[in-house]
Amino acid sequence: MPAHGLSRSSSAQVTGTAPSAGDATVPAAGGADAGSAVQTGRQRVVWRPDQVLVQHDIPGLSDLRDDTSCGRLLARSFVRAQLGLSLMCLTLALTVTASFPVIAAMVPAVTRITMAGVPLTLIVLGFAFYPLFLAVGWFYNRQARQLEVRLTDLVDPASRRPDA
Amino acid sequence: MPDAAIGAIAFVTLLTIIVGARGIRVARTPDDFMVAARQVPPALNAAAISGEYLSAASFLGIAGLVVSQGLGALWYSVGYTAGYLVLLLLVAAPLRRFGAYTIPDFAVGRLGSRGLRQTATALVLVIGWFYLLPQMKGAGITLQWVLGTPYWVGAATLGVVVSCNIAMGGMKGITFVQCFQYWLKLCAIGIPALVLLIAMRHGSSVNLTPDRAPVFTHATVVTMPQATGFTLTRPAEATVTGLLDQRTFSGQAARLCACRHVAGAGTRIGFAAGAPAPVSLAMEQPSGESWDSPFLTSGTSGTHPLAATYGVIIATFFGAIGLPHILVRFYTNPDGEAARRTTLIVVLLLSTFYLFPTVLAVLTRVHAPQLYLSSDSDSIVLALPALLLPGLPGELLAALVAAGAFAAFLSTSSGLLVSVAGALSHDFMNRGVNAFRWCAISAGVVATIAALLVGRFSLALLVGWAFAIAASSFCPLMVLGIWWRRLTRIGATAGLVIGGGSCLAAIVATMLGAAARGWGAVFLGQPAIWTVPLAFGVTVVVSLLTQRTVPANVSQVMLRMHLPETLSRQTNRTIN
Repeated sequence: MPAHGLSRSSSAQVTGTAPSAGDATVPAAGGADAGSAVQTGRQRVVWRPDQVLVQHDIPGLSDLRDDTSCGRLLARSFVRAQLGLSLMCLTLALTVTASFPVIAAMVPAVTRITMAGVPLTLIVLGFAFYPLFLAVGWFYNRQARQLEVRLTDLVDPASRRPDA
Repeated sequence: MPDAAIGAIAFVTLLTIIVGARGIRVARTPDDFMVAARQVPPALNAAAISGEYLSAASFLGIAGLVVSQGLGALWYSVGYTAGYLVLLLLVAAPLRRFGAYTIPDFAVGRLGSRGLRQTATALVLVIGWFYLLPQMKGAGITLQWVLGTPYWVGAATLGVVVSCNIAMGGMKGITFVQCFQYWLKLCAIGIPALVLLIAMRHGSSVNLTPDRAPVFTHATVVTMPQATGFTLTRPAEATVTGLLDQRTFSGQAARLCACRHVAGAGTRIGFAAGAPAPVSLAMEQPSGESWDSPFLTSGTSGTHPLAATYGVIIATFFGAIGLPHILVRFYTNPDGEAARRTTLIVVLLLSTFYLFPTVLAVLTRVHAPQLYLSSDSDSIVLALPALLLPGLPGELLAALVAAGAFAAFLSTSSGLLVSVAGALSHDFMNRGVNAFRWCAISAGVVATIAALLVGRFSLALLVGWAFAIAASSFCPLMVLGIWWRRLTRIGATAGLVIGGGSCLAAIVATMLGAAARGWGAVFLGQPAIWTVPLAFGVTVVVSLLTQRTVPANVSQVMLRMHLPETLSRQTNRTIN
């Protein structure tokens, strides 16, 4: 399923939502704990691996811009996900429509079917395919947009959430 | 009778000119002039695309072909709609994001080569002119039917009106015109179809029964407008007044054998209910036994119907991507997302429209089988309303149909002329607005003259051929250019030349009458079945052999085509 090609990792969510994402390179604890550490001569270190990962593993806009290997991989997998979605929808629409002549040629009885005096061929060719095209097109538009939103969330959360 | 129709046609033409001329004041820079400044909202743009797309073939051709050849001809309307679904799935958003004006612009921007640009431009001209011919033919037969003028008058009128309108208004005007044309066309085919459907609701479905030749459902007197040859599928009793089979009758009953007959002009033949409908020898193919078959036989003399059907399916499904006058419209969307929305609305608008030619064709089959005596299947839609509804209502509906038909020719040929003239002036002359105007006028003249030579081919067939050329040339270029990094300019050029060239050669051979029977007729008459795979294959193989010429900026171009605008604005330093 191509829609899952670009699922957002949990660490990316941190970048988007946690206000502390900016100083994630200092994985030490905050002010009050630091004060008590000086007094007792011990230092309490809180290891938060997800915030460290943010800086190194999540491709950002700069990767895409500078064409780093990471950015290239991201761009290719995004294009591949979009292509997969397109081909899936295309295959669906083509299979349903283009199989009708073959079926009619192999089973001629199909063309003899009438419904309330109206030949099946007329119903299929005159009316039935259009709702299918609309449904496939609607589904594709929704999925393609979702892929784009996922990518935007991943590399540039700020552009999606101005308040973050 | 023609008065109302003449008035309606004149009204549509004048309105088109006036709305188009308004655009002259809006158009300021050449950019505005060419693509309407990219500020057209999706709903308006979708109606404009549909208005431009629904041509003579959709308005007159499909219904006529369904009547004369059978339900298989509906593959044309299915395919014309599916073409937009394929376009939506494969090219709509990336193409808009790429941001070029025309197909040659796309080819050069993606692959960068002067030779490729000229090849693409030459193909724009071929497809554009090929597509203009049926529009001119449609205008010819419509005016012929309404006014009784010779065929060339209608073709020439359309040529003059469209060329002048384009030369004056450019595309800003045309966007409004095209949008208006869609709704006009929908009304002009939808209202008559619904009115006639309601008026005829008592009809029987006897003519829809599989394997039945059409019969008169009630006693009918048929008048021959001109000397007509026809056949009957079985013997029939009839009362004849006038010249029939070289004998003069004056209202006597006669027994007509199941064979060929020739009736003189003005001869009236009265058939009883249940009598077989006579079928004109001028109809492309005698209809009857196989009317309900889902196969299409147009252009191949009825041989190998399954292959011919797939030929049309491939040509129409993949041809819309390569139509030069349609792609120009995608650059007027604000962004890629809007391009996708626009295309989906187009699919909706086309689906709605194509319900009605089907209804009209079925009404003809069921209630007016005497139209099988028409000399040209393309005029059936024009003749139907007056036959089914005698008197003023029928006349008004006929006028509406004639006006809608004329709107179809006007809008499609306007769009085609814009792209043909744009390609000519942009690539072969200095690029100013004046050059564009002169190119519009000269391209219109050439198309009008050529249209005088294609009168004997049906509209749907001619338009289907334009789609076949587009599918076997520009479709591989666009699809592979958007999705495949390894495409090279040499591969693309080879695909255009071999795919487009072989398709064009096959069609010209068919027009000249080569191979009327057997597999030859299928391969030449519906060439898309082999030229489209050939074009894709050649493009891919030659590209793989010339990998050293892959453009250096391919990664950047791919990003620009596929990233949403919010991102590509920030990642692209060099372009935009």
